[in-house]
Amino acid sequence: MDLIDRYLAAVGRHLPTTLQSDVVDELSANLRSEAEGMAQRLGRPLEAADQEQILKPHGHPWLMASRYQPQQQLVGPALYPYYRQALVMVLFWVVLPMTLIGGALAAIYAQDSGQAWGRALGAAWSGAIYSVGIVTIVFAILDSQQVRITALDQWQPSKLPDPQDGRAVPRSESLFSLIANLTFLMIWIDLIRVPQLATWGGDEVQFVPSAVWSAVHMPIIVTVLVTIATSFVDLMRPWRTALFSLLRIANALAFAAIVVVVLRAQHWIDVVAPGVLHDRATRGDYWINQSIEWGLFVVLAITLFEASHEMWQLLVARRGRRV
Amino acid sequence: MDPALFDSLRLELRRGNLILAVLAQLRAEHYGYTLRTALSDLGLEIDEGTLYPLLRRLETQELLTSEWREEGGRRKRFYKLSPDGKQILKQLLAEWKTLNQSLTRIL
Repeated sequence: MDLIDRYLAAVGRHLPTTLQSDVVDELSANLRSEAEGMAQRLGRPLEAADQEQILKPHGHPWLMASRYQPQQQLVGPALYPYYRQALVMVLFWVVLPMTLIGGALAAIYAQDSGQAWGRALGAAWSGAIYSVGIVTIVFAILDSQQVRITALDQWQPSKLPDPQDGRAVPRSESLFSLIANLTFLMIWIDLIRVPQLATWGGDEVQFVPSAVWSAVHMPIIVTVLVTIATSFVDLMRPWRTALFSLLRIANALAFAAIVVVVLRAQHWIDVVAPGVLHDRATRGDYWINQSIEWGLFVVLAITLFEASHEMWQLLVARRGRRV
Repeated sequence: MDPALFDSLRLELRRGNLILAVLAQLRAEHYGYTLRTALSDLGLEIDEGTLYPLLRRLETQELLTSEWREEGGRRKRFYKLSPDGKQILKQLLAEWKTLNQSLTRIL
């Protein structure tokens, strides 16, 4: 077996089986023709050194085989800007919220702060790896199929935001936030009347809030008041400065921390009933506390997503001069 | 000057032109080796490791057609421009001529 045969065998080993014989046969015909041409020029049969001279410019067998792969790049220049933007968006919309939620869960359930940090960082790392991997695979498939994204081809220069306006905040969003938080504040202040009483088949049942509610009563009022104040300012002046964004992020994280403190209590309402209703009260106690736990997790997730969204707006979105 | 930067820019400059040259040369039928020598005789050196896989890619893009045929006692794969390839070559040549004229004026 001469050097050319050995080269062809080596290239073949690195090719997918579907391409193997076809590519090797073609490469063989080209190499043999080249060898014949060289032998004619030299006027003698080729030696190993001559064959080496022919093979060298073809490149290492692995490299040669890899050039026959149908896809030569993961994401080409046409898709790359979208790919990069998708990665940034995934970072802010998936990895950051997952990290915050992972950190919050660790803060609720971990035995110590070291364990909590470890879990939060673990969630961030694995979230980042999975997210980047999935986005890359999707874009590699799009690139291999030569898909072209045309969504931005129809952009209209007249719709570009005025840089003087900073980041616009829709008034409807501010109004909704204002109404929702004012309503919550009124209910929350009213909830100070404890214990709540209800009648169940003519008997009196007490719903006694656990001590954690008293501990977080005032902090919750403060965070809700900050939200109301910032929503009011947004309503009056519908563009948000960086300072205001930072204030909203800090407030959202503070509120999330309060929710974590509440969740750590693990029991939020005691349902107390006279002896005849004891069984029903026990079941009621279980379901009420279970519902509160689910509700608190939803509130926590929404709050952390809002904080991530605000960070995204602050750090990534293009800002005007006022911001 | 950074030689790696020059190499990278040279590679970019050559890439599109090589495709144009290969498509143009394949208006007449060739197999890999004769195509390379034909281009070389016309002054365009192109590595085997670049040319042979490029032919496959252009065929996958339906710009070339190929057929296996025996010649000189050996089976060889002959390539030539497909109807789509002819159309694309015409468009690319028009683009290249415009670019070349502009560059000539600029330089």
